[in-house]
Amino acid sequence: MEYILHILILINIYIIVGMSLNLVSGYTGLISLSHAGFYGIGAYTAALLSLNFGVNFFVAIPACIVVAMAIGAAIGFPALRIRDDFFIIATFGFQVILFQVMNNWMELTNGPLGLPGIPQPTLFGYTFSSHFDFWILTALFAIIVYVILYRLTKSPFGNVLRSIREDDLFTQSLGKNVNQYKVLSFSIAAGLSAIAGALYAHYFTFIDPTSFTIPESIFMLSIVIVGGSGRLSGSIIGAVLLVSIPELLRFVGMPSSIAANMRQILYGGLLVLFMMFRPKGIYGEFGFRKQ
Amino acid sequence: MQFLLNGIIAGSIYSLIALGFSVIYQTTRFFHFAHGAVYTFGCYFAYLFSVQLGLDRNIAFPLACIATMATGSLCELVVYNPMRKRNATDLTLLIASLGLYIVLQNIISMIWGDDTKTMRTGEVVEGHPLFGARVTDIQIIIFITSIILMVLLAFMMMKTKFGKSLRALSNDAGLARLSGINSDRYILYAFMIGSFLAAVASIMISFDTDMTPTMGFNALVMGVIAVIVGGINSLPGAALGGLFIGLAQNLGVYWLPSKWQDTIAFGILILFLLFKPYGILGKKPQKQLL
Amino acid sequence: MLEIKGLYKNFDGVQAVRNFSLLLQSGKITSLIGPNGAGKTTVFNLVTGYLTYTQGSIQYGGHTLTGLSPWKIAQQGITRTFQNLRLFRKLTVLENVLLGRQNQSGEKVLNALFLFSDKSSEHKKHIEVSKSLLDFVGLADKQNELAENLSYGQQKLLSIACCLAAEPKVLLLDEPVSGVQPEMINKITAILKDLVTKQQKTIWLIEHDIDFVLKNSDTVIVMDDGAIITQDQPQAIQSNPAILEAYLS
Repeated sequence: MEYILHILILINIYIIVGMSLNLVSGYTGLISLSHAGFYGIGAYTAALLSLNFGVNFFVAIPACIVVAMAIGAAIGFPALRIRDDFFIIATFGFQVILFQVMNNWMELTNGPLGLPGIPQPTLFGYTFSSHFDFWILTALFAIIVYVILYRLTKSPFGNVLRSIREDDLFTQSLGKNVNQYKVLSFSIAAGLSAIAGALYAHYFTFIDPTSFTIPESIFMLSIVIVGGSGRLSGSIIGAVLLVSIPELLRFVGMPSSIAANMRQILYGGLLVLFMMFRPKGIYGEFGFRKQ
Repeated sequence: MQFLLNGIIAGSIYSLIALGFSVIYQTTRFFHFAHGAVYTFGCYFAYLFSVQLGLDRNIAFPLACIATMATGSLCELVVYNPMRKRNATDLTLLIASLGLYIVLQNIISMIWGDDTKTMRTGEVVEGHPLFGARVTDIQIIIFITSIILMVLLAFMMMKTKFGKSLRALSNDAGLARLSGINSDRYILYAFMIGSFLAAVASIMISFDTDMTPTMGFNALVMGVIAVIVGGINSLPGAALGGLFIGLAQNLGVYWLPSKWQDTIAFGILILFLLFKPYGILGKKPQKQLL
Repeated sequence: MLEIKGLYKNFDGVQAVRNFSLLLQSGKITSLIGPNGAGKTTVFNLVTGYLTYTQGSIQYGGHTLTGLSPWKIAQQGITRTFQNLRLFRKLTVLENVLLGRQNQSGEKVLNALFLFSDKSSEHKKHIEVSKSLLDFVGLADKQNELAENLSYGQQKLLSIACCLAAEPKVLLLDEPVSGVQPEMINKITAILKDLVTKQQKTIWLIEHDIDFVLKNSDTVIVMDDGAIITQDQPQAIQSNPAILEAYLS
């Protein structure tokens, strides 16, 4: 039972990540490989605030969002002026730089040694300690993030994002400041995935830079693409599938020595297959086919 | 001085990797990220043939190169070509190649394990003195092999009919096809050439440092940076970019601790993407935006 | 109104536009014709901010348009269509037109998050206007269709509707009737006439269909090799066969 709850908790965390990446990659059409970095910023900000300053988790959350959004805007503002495939390279570059900072800035992040002993969240005297507690906590945040993104994507703001994805030159001719929308969507996505990072940090109570690498960014992209780009529910489907299937494989008798590799082959392979045969994903709107 | 030397040696490896990457990019116009995994296969195949199967190195290494070329070709034949036939965009090909990289790198992990392997002969050599610095045999071999390969590549591209066709394809695919060039076949050749260069670079590197399944990631990254800095549309640019990055990293160690080496490289990448996206030697493509 | 003075545009040493000057007449239809490669679309791109220029100036309603981004120029009241017919293919016809509406409060993030409702009177007004525009161009029954599913001619109508949604004073139409059936040409012609005579819009269009141009324009500008060759009323152009000869050859 604990094991199942653990999987459900991971699913919730990745639902948040997937939906937020979907906003910028699926709705706005900007493929970003920086997302693991923002997830990591959320994790480190939450961890450092609670370890060094004893800040309560729920107070730290807005701080994580703000920090991630600020860095997201700082990166996005110059990067989003770069054309399509070079933009992805730029996000790739920023992701690696973020990782290098996490790994090398020993004074701040403790580098490769990581940050152990992150306390469990407390609220008015109640400590979230059991798996069941965390499942409720992560589910609540997943719902909140869903509502936020639902409001955004169903509004005229969301329609402008979709139009940017379809043809951003045409969008400009209709009087919309396309760059501003791009930066906003990038920055909001960063902020929301920081929430997931903070949850991750407090759940696992230990973080190190190896969780926030390029392959992790590719995994997040797989969730969006496999589940469906351009529809929030697609990311829910994607998170459920890509988190649970590797675990199911373990039950079918996969030796644990190659379990980690098989998990990666699974999402890497699915990414290839979906790009080859169904770029829209299982339940998506956008097939990455620009005219 | 030692830094300069290290920079040149590193630069020559980066140039090889970048050239392999660039040859493929020129003909297909998308970033074949899986090249990093193909690169890794290079030295692992060499390890397989020479260490695990005990074949003589003069047989093992060429075999490894051929096997690597086959791997690179498989990427094209199994994934990219069918996608292009279905009108995939550069973006979808790029995303597919990300997934392909993950798959291939993990296949290497599964077959050979995640632990470090080595093909080095073991002793730590001091190296010969040169202009006040030290250079090892391996470093000399790396440098000379790289130069030879680059010259051969240049010769092939500029003087042979094959090379000219390849260049025609990269300049204007539509026109090349009209003049009878079978673009599919030449793209495959490009993959083979690129993978060959990667294999050579990879085998040479494995004599200098240890092998791990993720070593290709770094190589790939440096290759991408070199290609962009040197000029995305230019083969000589890739070589130049490789040298530039090698020098910048190793000279930068003068001021910053070496752990920030990669950050230097990425910082340069970002600067170029922002201000000079077509690199030092690159030219903007002629066609208009609208 | 729209005043262009001494526009020059260079592409890697090739002069695509040379000394282009024009005072665009308000409330009239002006046509720009010329052989392929004459620089017509380049002029449109320069005016609407998609290309930059170092020589020349463009003024509109007292404001300088030089150096403004395309979206700022659109907000000034100048909208355009594109030669390769840009639309939001995977969005519905109604969504396409709705995006043309300016200053929607729901486009701001905080409003979208907290205040926006599709039942608000503001939003309902936008939808109403969009629907009536679709009615005006004759696409009312297609409002929930994906833009990519329309016929070519219908897509041209849609692109005009999108332009109009922004309530522009000036419309720059790049080949509004090329490649469409004769009935559609009549339809579009009627729409353009209506815009000019009943709604006081200014229309500047590029076209290859000489008959259409001569029949419907108030002024015709002939361009070749980057420069204006002549600028006159249709009758004058028509009675000067030398010009058309040079252009058609």
